[in-house]
Amino acid sequence: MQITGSFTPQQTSKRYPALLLVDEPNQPPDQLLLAIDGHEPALDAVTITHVSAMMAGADWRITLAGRGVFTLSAPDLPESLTPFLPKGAKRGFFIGLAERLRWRGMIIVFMLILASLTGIRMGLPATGDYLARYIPIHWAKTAGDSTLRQLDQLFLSPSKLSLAERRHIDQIFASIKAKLPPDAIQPKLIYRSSSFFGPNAFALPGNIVILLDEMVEFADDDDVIAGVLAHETGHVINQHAMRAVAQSMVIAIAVGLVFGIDDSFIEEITTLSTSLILSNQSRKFETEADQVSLEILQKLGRDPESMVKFFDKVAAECGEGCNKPNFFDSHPRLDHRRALFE
Amino acid sequence: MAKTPKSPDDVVKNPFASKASAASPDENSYLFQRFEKLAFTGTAWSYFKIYFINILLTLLTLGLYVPWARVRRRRYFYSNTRILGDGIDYLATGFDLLKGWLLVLAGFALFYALPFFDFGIAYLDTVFLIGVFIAYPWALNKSLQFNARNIVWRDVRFTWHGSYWGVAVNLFIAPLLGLLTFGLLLPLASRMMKHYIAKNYSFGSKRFEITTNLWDFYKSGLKTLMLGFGIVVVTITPLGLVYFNPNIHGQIDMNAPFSWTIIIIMFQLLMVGLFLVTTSFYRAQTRNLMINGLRLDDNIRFRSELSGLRLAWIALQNAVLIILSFSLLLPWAHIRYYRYLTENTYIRPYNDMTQFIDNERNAGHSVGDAFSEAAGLEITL
Repeated sequence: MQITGSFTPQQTSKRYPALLLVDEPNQPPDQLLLAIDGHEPALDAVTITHVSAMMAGADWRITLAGRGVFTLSAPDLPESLTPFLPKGAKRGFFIGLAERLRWRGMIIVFMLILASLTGIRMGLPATGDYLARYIPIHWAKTAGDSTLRQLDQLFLSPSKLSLAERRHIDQIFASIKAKLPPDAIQPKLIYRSSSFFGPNAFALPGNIVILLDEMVEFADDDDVIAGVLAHETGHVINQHAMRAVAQSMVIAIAVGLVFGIDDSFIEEITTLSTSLILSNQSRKFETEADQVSLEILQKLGRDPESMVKFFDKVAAECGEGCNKPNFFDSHPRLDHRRALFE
Repeated sequence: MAKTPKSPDDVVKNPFASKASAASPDENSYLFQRFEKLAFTGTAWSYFKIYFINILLTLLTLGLYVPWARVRRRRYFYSNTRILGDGIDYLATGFDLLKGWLLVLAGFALFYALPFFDFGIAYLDTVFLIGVFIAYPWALNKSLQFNARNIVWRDVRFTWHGSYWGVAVNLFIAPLLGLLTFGLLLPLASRMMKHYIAKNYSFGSKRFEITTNLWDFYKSGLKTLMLGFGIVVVTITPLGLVYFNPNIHGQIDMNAPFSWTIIIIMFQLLMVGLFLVTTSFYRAQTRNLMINGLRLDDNIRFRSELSGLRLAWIALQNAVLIILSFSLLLPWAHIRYYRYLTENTYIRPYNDMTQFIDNERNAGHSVGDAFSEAAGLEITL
C-alpha cells in the first residue's frame, strides 16, 4: 500500500513529495519504507517515533526517527500504519474522535455540561463549609484581627457610649451567652462608632461581634439590642464568617480553574453566577442567624415582637427599596425577616 | 564472508524511480514572486465541538484538563492556518503546560491564604501584588519564548529573542505612557510594540526585519480619533435633541428610577460599542502597517489588507451575537474574526521557502505561559 504525503528533512523547511510504503510486493510485513521524490536516500526503511494528535482540519504530522517529518493530509490515519505506530500513540486520539460528534452527540455534551455545572453549583458551598471546619482557630483569629485593624483605619472610630451604657449592654450580651449550648463558640463583643455604616452590627472571623453606637441609638430598646446581638451571636456560633471566606475562596479558585480556558463571556457569566451563589449563601446565613436570635429571645423571655417593630422602623427609614427582591442582596427581604419574629 | 544486507531498493521498487523528478526550486522560482494568500481551513462547526468538549472535560476533571484544552484550542487555530498549502503546527503538549499551570495555581492559593498568616510584616499582600506586577514582563517574555519554540512550519520552529527589560519597556511602559499622555504618544507606543515584536522573532535561524514610518502610525491614530468622534456625534446628537426638545422633554420623567436605568444602560452600551469599534479599527490599521513593513530573509515580504471598518463591524456583530446567544455562538465568532485576519494576510515568497534551517531544539518552560494566560496577556496573529 502506498500512502501519499510529503516529506520534510529534520529541522529544515524543504519539502518533497513522498510515499510511505506498507505491504508492497516483496516488502517484509514488519517493514515501513519511505520513498522520497528528489531526495536521497530515495527509498529507505523508517521508524515512526511520534504522531500528532488527531485534530479537525490538521494534517497528520508523523515524525520519523533521525529523518524528519512525513505530512499526511487525511481525516484518518490509514489502518495499515497501525502496527508501525509507537506505543500509546493512539491514546490521544480519543479526544479527536469525541470532537467528531454530530448534532445528537453535541446535545448530550450540552446536557453533560449542564449536569456538571449543576453538580459544581451544589457542591461548591458544601466544599467551602467542609474546608472551613479545618481552618485552624488561630488563622480565623488572625483574619478577624487584621480585618478589624483595617476597618478601624478606614471606617470605624472608638465608641462614644458611656461606661454605664456599655455595662448595661455587656449584661444583655452575658445573658445571651449564658443561653448558648455549653460547647458553643463564645463570641466577644466590642464597641465602635461609624457614620459610614450607620445603624449596624456585624460578626467577623475570630468570633468578634461589633456593635455600633448608631445601632444602639437607632434601636433604643433593650429587647431589640438583645435581638441584634443574638443575631450576630448566631453568625458566630455557626461560623458564618469563616464559612463565607472559605466558600468564596473555593468558588474563586474553581472559577479561575474551570474558566481559565478562555477569556470569554462565559467567564463573565460565571462571575455573575459566583455573586449569585455567594449572595444566596449569605441570605441563608442571615436567616439562620435570625432563627438563633428568635430562639435566644424566647429563652430569655424577651419580646420577639420588638424585632417586628424594629424591622418596621428600618423599612420606614429605607422606603420601598428594601423590600424589592434582588438576587444579589446579601440579606433576605425585610418583610420575610419580619415575618419570622411575628 | 558476511552477507551484505539488501538495501530496500534491491527488493521493493521505488515508485518515484520511473517518474521524472520534481522540478528543482530554481526552475519554479517565478511561481513564488507573487503574493499568496494565507488560508484558514477551520470551520465554525468543528471549532464549536472542540470548544464545548473542552468545557465539558474541564468541568468533569475539575479544572485539571485546562492545559490540554489550551493546547487543543491553539493547535486548532494554528494547524488550520496554511502558508503555501502547509499548515502551521503547535507542538506543546498538555503535560508541558500543566507544570506552569500548577505553579500559577499555587500562586493563586498563596494569594488567598496570605491574609490568614500574621508574619508581622506590614502590607505583605501589597508586596505580593507588586511582585506579581514585576513578574508580568518576565512572564510575557517567557510565554512568547515558549510558544514560539512550539510553533512549527514544515520542520522549522520560531524563536523569540526578547528580554525582560525589552518587554517591560516596549510592551508595558510604552503603552502605559501612551495612555497617560491621553493618547498623544499612543501611536509611538504602538510602533515601538510592533517593532519590538517583529524584530525579536526569528523563523529558524533567520530574523524578521521591519521598516515602518512613525507618521503612518499617527495617521492611523488620527483616523481612529475621527471615527470615534464621528460615532459620538452621530449617536449623542439624537439623544441631545430628544433631551433638550421642550415638547419631548416634559414627557420623560427623569426622576423615575426606570428612566435612569435605561439611560445608564444605553450610555454604557454606547461606551462599550465605541471602545470595541475604535480599538478594532486601530488594531486593523496598525497591523497592516506592521505586516506590510515586515521582511524575512531579505526578500520574503508580507502584506495585510484589513479594512478597519470591516474588522470593527465584525467585532461589534460578534459581541452582540455572543451576548444574545449566551455564548453559544462564541466559537462561530472566534472563527469568523480569525478567518478575516488570516485571509487578508499575504506572503510573497522569494523561492519555494526551502532555505530555512532550525538550529535550536530547546523549547523552554511553560511557567510564563500559564502566568500570562491567567493574567490575560497574549499576543496573537
